[in-house]
Amino acid sequence: MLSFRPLLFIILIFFCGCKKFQQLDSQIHPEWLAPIAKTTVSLETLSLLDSTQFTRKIPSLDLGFPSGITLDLPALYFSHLGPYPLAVSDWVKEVHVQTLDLTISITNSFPITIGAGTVITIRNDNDTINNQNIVSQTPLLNDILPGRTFTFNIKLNDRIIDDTVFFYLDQFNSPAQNNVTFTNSPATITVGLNILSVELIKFYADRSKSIRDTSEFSIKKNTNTHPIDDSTVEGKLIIYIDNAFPLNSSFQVYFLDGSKRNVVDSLFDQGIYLQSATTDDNGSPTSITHSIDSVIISSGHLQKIKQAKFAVSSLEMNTINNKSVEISANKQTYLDIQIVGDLKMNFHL
Amino acid sequence: MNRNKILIASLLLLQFELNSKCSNAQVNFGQFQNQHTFTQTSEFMPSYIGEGVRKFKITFFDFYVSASNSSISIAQLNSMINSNSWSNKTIDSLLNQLKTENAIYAGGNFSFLNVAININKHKRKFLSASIGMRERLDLNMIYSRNLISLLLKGNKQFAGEKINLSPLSVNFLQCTDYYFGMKALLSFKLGKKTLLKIKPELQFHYLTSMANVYMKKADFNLFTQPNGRELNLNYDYDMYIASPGNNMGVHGLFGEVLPKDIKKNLFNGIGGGKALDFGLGIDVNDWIKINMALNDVGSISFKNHAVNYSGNGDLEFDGFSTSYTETQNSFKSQTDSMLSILKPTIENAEYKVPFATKYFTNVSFNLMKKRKKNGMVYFRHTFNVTYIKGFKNYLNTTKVPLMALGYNYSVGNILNFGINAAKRGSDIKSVGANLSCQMGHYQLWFNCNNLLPLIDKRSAKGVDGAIGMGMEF
Repeated sequence: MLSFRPLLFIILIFFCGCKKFQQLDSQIHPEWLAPIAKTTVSLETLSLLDSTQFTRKIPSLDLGFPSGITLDLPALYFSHLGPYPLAVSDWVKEVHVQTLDLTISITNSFPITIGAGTVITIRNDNDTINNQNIVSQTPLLNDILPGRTFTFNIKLNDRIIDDTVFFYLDQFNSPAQNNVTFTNSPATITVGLNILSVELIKFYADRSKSIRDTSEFSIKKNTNTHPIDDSTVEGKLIIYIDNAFPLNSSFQVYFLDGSKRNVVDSLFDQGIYLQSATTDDNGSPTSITHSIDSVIISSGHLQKIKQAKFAVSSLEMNTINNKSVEISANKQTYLDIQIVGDLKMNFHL
Repeated sequence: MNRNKILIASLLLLQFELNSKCSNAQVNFGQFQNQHTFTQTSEFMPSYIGEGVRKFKITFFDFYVSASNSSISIAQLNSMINSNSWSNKTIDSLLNQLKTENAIYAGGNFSFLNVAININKHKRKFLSASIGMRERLDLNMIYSRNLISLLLKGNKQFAGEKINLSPLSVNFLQCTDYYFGMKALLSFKLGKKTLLKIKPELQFHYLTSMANVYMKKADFNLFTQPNGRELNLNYDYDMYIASPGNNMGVHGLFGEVLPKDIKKNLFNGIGGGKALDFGLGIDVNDWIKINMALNDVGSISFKNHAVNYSGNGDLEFDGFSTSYTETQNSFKSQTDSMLSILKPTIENAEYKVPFATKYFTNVSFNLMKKRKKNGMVYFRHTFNVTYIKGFKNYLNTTKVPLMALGYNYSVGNILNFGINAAKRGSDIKSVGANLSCQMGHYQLWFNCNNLLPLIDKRSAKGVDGAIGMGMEF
């Protein structure tokens, strides 16, 4: 996701970096105008999915056996065991991935063996007749004994993933076993999704997503031996933003105290709001919005920030007020952020 | 007599091209005006070989040290050092003193032996020769006002402007100078009374060096976009360093210098070279004498223990990239990456470094000629005009000429004393004095070309001093 940690780190450097000369009183105010940090957010680095790891439970009842009863089982065979839907995202309608890393783990908590030849199938819908919806199919080469976990990794290219994917254990088979008692512990399928390269994303209209990232923030800790001097720096940080994403965004950094419950201060007065760009049907940006905002660095601001122990970066994105039913974004979309310092440094010579 | 006046006027007119750049031509010009120190003058102005000497003279030592800068007065320097706080006013005042180009110089000339001999033919001087050895140390630094202004006031003042941070150079040369000079004396009778003497001279120097820093090229330009979104540093530098140290470039610029390395190269040095001084003396008559010299024409070569540090390119910076997750490591790696771009290419290199060639002219007007019982001729009153000019701002020379006026009074050639005043460029002034005595064969001399630190610190921009001792026969 869009990380603000670098920005915070840079601010720390500027707040505290001039302390080595602090031996005498000084009235020197060199004024520096220089770029400090930049970042480009692409479709890949934007947090598209609700999570990168999903777990789905498979209760014994799905095999037709209640828990707590001892049974002599014949050999089992199901052509399609499932579906087990996994909601990938509530705001992304469809992702056309160029490269996708899938890590799949099956933990067999059943008292029976899951036989080799069982196929783990991912489909974009729950239609088992139509094979066009298959995202991937991986057969088990070996039995998964009771209590064991089998993990495998596959790399997929040029696939389309919908907002919900459906897992199936196709051609599920298990050898006959006697005196078998199922418990309440379900078998589980855990899926790790790592999108490496995206071709196109289609967002739902009128949806929003909030991303927050909390990190430790302590000026005293970072400056080590030199406590911050409130008069070391004053001036402003100017933020230049080019938004080619078809997403309205706003971001803010909040500084929290040690309890993480109280907001001490925020980096921007109102947060920075970015108007969405427009894209054509292929997802290419047809207009890019440019905006400039600034943060005044004052001693009052610094006094408050000094108290902070944590910083939360908050990014709100939405597709509200977009007239299209679905909004497309391809690889040409991006969000460029550059921070320029216009700072008066108080050197101590 | 009219012809003489025209000749002198022409010479002076040709040479008075004072301008207002930095200047720190550091030679002991005060010795030009005192008969007791003519032999020391001959080290760089060979037409003085054998002058002020009856048969021969041995100089045991003559030490001269000097330090100066072209822009900041000693009073201002004191004020800045002693001040508990520097205000913007202090900075502005400092910057106002700086010129586009500024120089700092420190150096010394340590003569350990000089022997001058006059060979007579028909009771007249016919040939003079000198031989000697001295240690020479010169360090100069040239820096721009823009650079200091950038460091002290930041780059915002230059937004939207491409600023030249050059010149920025440091040059240092240590060398041991073994020299041998010859002067011939040709006399021409003009009219009944006037005897014109022409004295062509040539002096050969063999030099060894133990250390050198030679900044051949140093160009730095910085452009700050008006909105500060990009900085562009354009750099092109070429620096040579010679040192007796090992692993130069790995263990610092000068390498790891051990006492044994110094001992090993103490006499032969790590570089050697040759230089010539050309001189011409004209005694228009007894009262007007003109001496001219072009000295230090040559170079010194370094073959071993010599390294070239060079780099050129453009560095564009539009902010640290924050696409990494480990931010602190990322910044460190990006900073390291940027610094590595600026890091020089280091190569072992043979190179040749030029000497600081200078041009001298001294015109002396001598009154009240006296002859001692031992045959020594001297003048009670001597007036001098001295002109020195280098061909570039390098080591102890500057392109800006130095003009000095001096007066000396001699009490029986036993006690000589004098004063001088010099002007370098448009605003660098100095006032000096010299004192010497001769007791029997023994001579002892002192001189200082810049007494301003004692008189007027606001005008003083340097200090120097010399002391020497010898025997004259």
